[in-house]
Amino acid sequence: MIVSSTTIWEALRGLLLGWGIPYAWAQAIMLFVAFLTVALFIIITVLLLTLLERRLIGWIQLRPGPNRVGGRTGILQPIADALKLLFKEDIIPLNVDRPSYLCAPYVVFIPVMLMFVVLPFGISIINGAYKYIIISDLNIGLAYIIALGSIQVIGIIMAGWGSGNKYALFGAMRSVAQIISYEVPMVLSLISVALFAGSLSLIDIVQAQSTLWAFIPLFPAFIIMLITAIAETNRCPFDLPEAESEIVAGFHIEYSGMRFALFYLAEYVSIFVMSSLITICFFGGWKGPMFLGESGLWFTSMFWFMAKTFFFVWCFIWFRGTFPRIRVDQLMVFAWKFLLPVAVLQLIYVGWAITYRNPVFSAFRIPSNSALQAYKGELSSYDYMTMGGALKVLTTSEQVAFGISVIVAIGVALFLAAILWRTYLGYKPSHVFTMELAQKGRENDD
Amino acid sequence: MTEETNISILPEPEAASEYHEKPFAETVSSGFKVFALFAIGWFLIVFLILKGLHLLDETAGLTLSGKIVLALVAGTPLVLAVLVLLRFYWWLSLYMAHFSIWGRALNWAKYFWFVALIASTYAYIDPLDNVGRSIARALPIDQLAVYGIPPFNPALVLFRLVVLLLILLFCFSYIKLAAEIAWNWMKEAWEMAVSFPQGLVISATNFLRPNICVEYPEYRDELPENFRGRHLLASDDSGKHLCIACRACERACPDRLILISAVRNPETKKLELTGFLLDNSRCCFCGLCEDSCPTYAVRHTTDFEYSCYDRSDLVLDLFGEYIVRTAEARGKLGGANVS
Repeated sequence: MIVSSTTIWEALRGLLLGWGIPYAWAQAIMLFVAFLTVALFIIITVLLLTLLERRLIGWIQLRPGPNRVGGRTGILQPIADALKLLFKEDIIPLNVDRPSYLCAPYVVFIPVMLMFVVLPFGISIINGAYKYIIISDLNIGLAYIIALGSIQVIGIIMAGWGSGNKYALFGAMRSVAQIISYEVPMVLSLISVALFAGSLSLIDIVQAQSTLWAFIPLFPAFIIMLITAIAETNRCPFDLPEAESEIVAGFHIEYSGMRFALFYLAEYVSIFVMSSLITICFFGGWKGPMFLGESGLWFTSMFWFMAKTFFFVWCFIWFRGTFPRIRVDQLMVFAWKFLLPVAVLQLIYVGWAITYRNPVFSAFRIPSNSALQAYKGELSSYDYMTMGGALKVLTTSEQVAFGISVIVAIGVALFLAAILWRTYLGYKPSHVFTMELAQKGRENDD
Repeated sequence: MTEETNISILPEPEAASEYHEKPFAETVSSGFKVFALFAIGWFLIVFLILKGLHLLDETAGLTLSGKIVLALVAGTPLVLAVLVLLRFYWWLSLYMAHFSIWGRALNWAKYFWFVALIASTYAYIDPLDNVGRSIARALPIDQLAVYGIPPFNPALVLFRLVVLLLILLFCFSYIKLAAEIAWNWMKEAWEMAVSFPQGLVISATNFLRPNICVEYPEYRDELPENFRGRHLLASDDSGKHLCIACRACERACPDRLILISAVRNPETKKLELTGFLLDNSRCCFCGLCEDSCPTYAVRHTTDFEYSCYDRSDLVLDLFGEYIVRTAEARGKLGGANVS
């Protein structure tokens, strides 16, 4: 059932207007509240993430991590770090290009903050009507986030150029090359999501996954998104722009104090935003078993959203603890010669599946018979078909196409299952593995 | 004289490699065959193109003399063009015969499957129907039209079969090579794909393992006996040091850190130690002083916590330290052992 619903911010506007506050003032108050909410959320998230990352990396490396400030848990460590950064002297070197040097942290940070405008955190019921927990449901939400992600590149190259430091410039140039290269497969994989959902609005994308989370039909796109999200946020194994061992700290080498903290904030917030984007586009956003019923819908929906998002944040940290940094040429080859063809193949596959009305890809977009009645004015709302129902209305050629897609899916599933099987058996190089298999076969023959 | 020297200066003619010594025809024996094949093939292709474009249709109505005139007038530029192509691009035929010398590597073989695929697909589909029409016109076979089945050109099917067979015959080794390279590439890709989740599992299980970290100031491991820490001038039970001032450690020290001073006792004619300095700030803790000492007088202790605020504080006065350390023991024995 597709319900017409609005956002909680429109509910707030209604409340303010109901109190007799003029429209302009209500708008201003809402802006202020939104800014305050996002700023608070960002600060709390980043404080949490810094501690989380250091502890988790410590556990991966069999050491405890920060455990001195605030007891054995190190719970006050991020606050101590924040205080240190606040009271540090903000050094501006003599030979910097002042305008770009001073603007760069804000150009990096503000787009990341603006991304929160379109992130749907959940759904709630206010006065019997569904309200999405989101600041603004832009109908171009996905394009908006991608565009803001590209603005970050400008900030990074401003920082690199403005610092007047060769390492900073190297880092910035690497970063630009990397982000531009990885944006292409990322956008292609997100386009396949948009094709799947039939919309660029993030709320529509989440609603499209009511029956089936998108990572199942779009598994390659999900993997590509996961990899490119890591590259977009300049994190290990794609942390070439900040490679300590090669170019001391990359583009933020000359920054200190709060300006450095802004870069730091932007990095961690973009980790959160990218994780939530993966959650929204591939893992059904806030969807999940709503165990508190309708009254607690706001809590359960936000709980599922945050749980999934923090799972992917954990994945980011996990990958950082696992993979070594890759070389620059490997970076480019990986993006252009592996990720891009796979993304294009995935896109072709999705387009083909939607053209042939494959129920797995587009069941929710095939209107049921009630749509005709709704069109005639006999019904006030209509529903989409279920997957089984959609399977029955296919023509012969569409059924053949569906069969082919099932065979392809089985092939991909077998490939993934083989990888998991090898993983389950433990690390062995392939030639050793096959030799042992042959040995076993010989023993069985005997 | 000058001539002789000149001759001797000239380098001896090098023994030319076999490849350069042999005449061209012997090294690439199939070259001229391929050349001839290429020429025939070229004429065939040109003929087929002309035929396919219906450029030879009008010749049917001409008399023999007319045909000769046409061949001389219209054919001469064509023949000239072909000759020029053969004259200047004959080496292409060699490369077609010996792909492997192209670029001195087998890189082309990686992409050969692609070229073969495109070419064979074009020949197989025959989108402009040049080949099919030409063959149908050349052979006295009519198109079969069975009810319910689209028109069927047996000549075209025959041609397609021949194309496939020729591709298989001529390119079999190349296709096999390309397939081997692709197979190796796929094996590498598979190895990579498998190694990622394996690494991830290793790091994920590390979350559950206990720390191996010894949190130093509170907890500390017991150091082994042969740990090489701060140096010590050893003494026996009576408090007498073991050094005989042989300066073996001074000579053994790779960094020249040890400075020993000694005087000869006129009564016993033996060297008596009077000072033992060791610049610990430059010590590499190799343990050679300990190894070279015949009496095991210089020793490394397990003490490693002796940080200080000045580098000069790291110059250890081992003898003075020994004096202070053993003062009590030597005092009990009447202080007679002070040397």
